Amino acid sequence: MQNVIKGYKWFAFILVAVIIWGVGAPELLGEEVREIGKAAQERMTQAIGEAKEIQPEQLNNLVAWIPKLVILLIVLAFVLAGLAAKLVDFNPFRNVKANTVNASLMVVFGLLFGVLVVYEMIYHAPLTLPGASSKHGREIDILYYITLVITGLVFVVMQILIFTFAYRNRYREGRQALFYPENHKLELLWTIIPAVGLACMIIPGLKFWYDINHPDFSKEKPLTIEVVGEQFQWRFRYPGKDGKLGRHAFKLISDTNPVGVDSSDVASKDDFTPTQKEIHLPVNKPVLFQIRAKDVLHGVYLPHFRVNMYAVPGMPTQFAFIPEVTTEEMRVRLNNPNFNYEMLCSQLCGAAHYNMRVVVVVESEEKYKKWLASQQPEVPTNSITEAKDRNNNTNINNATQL
Amino acid sequence: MIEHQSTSTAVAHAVEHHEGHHGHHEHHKESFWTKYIFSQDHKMIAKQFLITGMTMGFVGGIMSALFRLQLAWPDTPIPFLEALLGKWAKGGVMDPNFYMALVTLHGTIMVFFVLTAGLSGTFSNLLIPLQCGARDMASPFINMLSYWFFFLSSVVMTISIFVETGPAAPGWTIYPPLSALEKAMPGSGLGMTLWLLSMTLFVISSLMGSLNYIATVLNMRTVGMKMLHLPLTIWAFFLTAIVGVLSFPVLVAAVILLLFDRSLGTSFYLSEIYIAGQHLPNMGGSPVLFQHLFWFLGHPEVYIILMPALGITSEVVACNSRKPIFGYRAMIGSLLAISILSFIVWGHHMFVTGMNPFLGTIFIVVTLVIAIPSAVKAFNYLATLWKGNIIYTPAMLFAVGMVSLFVSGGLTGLYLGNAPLDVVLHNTYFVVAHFHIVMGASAIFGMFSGIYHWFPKLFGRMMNKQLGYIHFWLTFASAYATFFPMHFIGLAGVPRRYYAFTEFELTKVWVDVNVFMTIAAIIGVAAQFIFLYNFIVSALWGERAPKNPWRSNTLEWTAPVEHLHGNWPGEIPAVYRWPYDYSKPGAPVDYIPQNISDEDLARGVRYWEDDDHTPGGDGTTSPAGGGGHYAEEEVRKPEAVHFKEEESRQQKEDERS
Repeated sequence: MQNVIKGYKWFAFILVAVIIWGVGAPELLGEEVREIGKAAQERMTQAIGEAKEIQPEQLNNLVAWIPKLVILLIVLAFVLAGLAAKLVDFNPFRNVKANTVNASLMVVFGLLFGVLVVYEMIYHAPLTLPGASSKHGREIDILYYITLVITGLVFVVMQILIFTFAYRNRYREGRQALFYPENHKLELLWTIIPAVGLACMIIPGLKFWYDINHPDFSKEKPLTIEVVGEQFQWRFRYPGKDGKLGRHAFKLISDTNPVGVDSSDVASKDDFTPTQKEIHLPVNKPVLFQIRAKDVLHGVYLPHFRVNMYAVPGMPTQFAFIPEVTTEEMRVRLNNPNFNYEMLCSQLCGAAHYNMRVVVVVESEEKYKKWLASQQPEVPTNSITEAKDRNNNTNINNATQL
Repeated sequence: MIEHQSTSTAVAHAVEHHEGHHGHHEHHKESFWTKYIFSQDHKMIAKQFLITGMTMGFVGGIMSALFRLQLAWPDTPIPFLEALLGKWAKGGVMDPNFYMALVTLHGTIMVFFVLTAGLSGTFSNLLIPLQCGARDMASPFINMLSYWFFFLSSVVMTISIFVETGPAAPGWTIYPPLSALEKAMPGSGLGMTLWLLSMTLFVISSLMGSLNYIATVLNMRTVGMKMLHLPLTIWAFFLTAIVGVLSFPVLVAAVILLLFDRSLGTSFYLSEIYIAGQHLPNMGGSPVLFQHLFWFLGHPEVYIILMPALGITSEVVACNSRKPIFGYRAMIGSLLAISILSFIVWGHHMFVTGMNPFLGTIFIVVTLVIAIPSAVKAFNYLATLWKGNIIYTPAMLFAVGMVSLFVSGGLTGLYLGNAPLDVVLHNTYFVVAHFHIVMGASAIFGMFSGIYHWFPKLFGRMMNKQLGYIHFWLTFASAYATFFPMHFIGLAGVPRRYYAFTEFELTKVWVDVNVFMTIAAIIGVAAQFIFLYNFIVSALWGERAPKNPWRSNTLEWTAPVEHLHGNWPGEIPAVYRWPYDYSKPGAPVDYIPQNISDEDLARGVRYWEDDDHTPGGDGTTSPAGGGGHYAEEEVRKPEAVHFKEEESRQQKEDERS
């Protein structure tokens, strides 16, 4: 307690400063907060005014002063109590056995932590991703539950042990700690048990990882969609009727040919880019994303389908998956008529990284075909020479546009 | 000119002094500059590291409070932000670029400046010579340089905050091309250059420090200090230093290649980039190459941060449980295993970056295997607590908190290390939760534990316990309240480094939870000011520390409280036993320091302190009672008596000198 009292004045000063800032804070907090404060004040004034029949204006000033007065009184009480304690040498902590208090607080904390965990499980766990909407995603979910059970068990047991040991083995007079430096059997045991637990996660992990990276296209050719990341949007290219994406070349990229399609390739003639920021996928058909980036790293992230792959400039990547649940079905399942699958950017790419939304619509084969028919194939205008010309003329800074 | 000369001669003299004398301590006047600024004394350098690290820690901590404000109230203008940040928060709304910069600097500062230099730098410097029984580091001069390079690096990093285009902003992992192209974001301009410069200086500092630590531990142990007599702190610092020496140079390589790409037009990391309406000429580089190089340091870095914290926790838990650490050799073995494995797991940061999936397979296995030594450590801590006689000093509270956080955070690593699960969780808030608990909070708890425990050694005074308790409980509660909900945000698929949660249906639901976490975080940051207050007041006016306040076995507590250049006034004590003989049956008290031989015990040498030296002890209880002085001090000691005693003791000391 000694240096608390020594530095007591400073403590009080700091407290007062903080509180003065706190009282003054509403003025700094902006229009909305101030308005809320004002409204509350008015309501209070009205209520008291009605009860006591006093002029509202008089009261208004009074009410405005109430919080400041209360805080001032608290500070005053704090300062006086401290001074008094110093004068009569009164130390409220004197009879408190700090060790026992801290040991007991360990239990209290353990319980509160338990409450936090349970609260999170009840209120926040339901807000997490619903079951996977893709084939490989269901495997990932299985792995998730295996891991959840194993780690959850270890977590609960270990935390309970930590907090109970912390309490039960607290210092008490006349007690002596047990001299127990090692026990090889025990150590071997708790090397082997984690190893077994880990094996339960590694083996399915390896299997599912293999499955994710070796999609089976033997039965059905996948719908290949090109995904191109740029600051700050996604561009898509569908192969059109021929099912083939036309070639692309980096040198062909320009303002009018944003993904660098090579118009000399016949396959590119019917390629199209969806007109809105929305892509459609047929249900139960394999989809292959061919991913690249124009400027910096981006991350193609479709959490509901358990799809995540970086878009890397200079290095094409890909990710195959089979959507299994249509948007409509998902809306029913989640009881949310406004639900949409969303695609996000998972790798920091700049200022608007947080805002690269694309809606993904999974629908039945028929609806998908209808949508396909409504899309216009783009006629790429660029040849290599054209691109060169344009290159010399354009100098628009995307970053500053933002 | 004259001053300069005298400084250099003083330095030379100090070096001579170190090499020249063994066995006796020689008083000689040091100037202000050689004693406090360009000191070559490892204890002073430890203090310098600690204070610089703490300063940077507060900068980084306040940054986190600022960007958490943005996350909690993304649409509400907060005029106070404009007052603080000027053009970066026009109208009280933070600029997205500056948000990224804050996130980046928070990460960089916390990872490197606080938890690497602040933690390793402080405690390796303080404890390696003292606990090994050496007069100083192998090279005190290089040790001094190590600090000053760190200082320079901190200055450069701090300066970068005030650059017109803003500080570096591509995340602390500075993945190119974002970090390589000025056109990609304003932060990739001068701010990024300064970042790279600062990190290069930092690595130089870290290398000089680490080489010194390794040389000292290997060569300068006192008589009888076998490797298996070293406290676990030293083992942890030693292995940390080895890991650092082997991995940090790779970061320098990565950083220098990035500098070349930025300034000289090379293409190590750049290829086929079309930005701002222009084709860049760079061809053939690979951004993934940078990630390999970065994470080859980046993952060992996690253990560079964590292992010292684990070492400190081992020491504090054993000492305050009054019990030998359970499985001393297993603890060393697991540290060794972690050190070796830490080099071959870096790819688990890159499962979805387009790296060859087969590599991913290997990294899954190795990454999950690293959980075994970690689990052994956690179980051993538990076994040490079991049937102990725990004295809750603030250091012990933080050590127990560290174990709890280490378990919570370590377990979530098993999700992220498993590639299929990482596909969903990569770069989400789940990752943020994981590393903030296991390497952020847990390591910082280890650091706090160390500061509270060795404060008497650092400053010769005691820290206030009550404030320590308040600090601990607030920090512990806020750590879990801030980071635990993040797991669920991550499981909902919300990516990290999002400026606002307002643009996606997926993310909107979590804005309320963000408010809760922000409040918890601000309480956590505010609680650190209690610590700061306690630290400053105690360092200047705190109760004077006795020689061995925690009744600990290790060698540093046999050195006098006053700092001597050379640590021990006479001979360096020889060592006869391991450092964990707590509550050994047959011993006169519940601890036997390492420098007490069996013959000493047989002769009945009274090695424990007289009671008037224990804080608040009133001389009525025998120390054999079980080390409860600290715990029960408040019960027995009225304040007034205490003051008198303190005064009289000080008077005596004055007379003596």
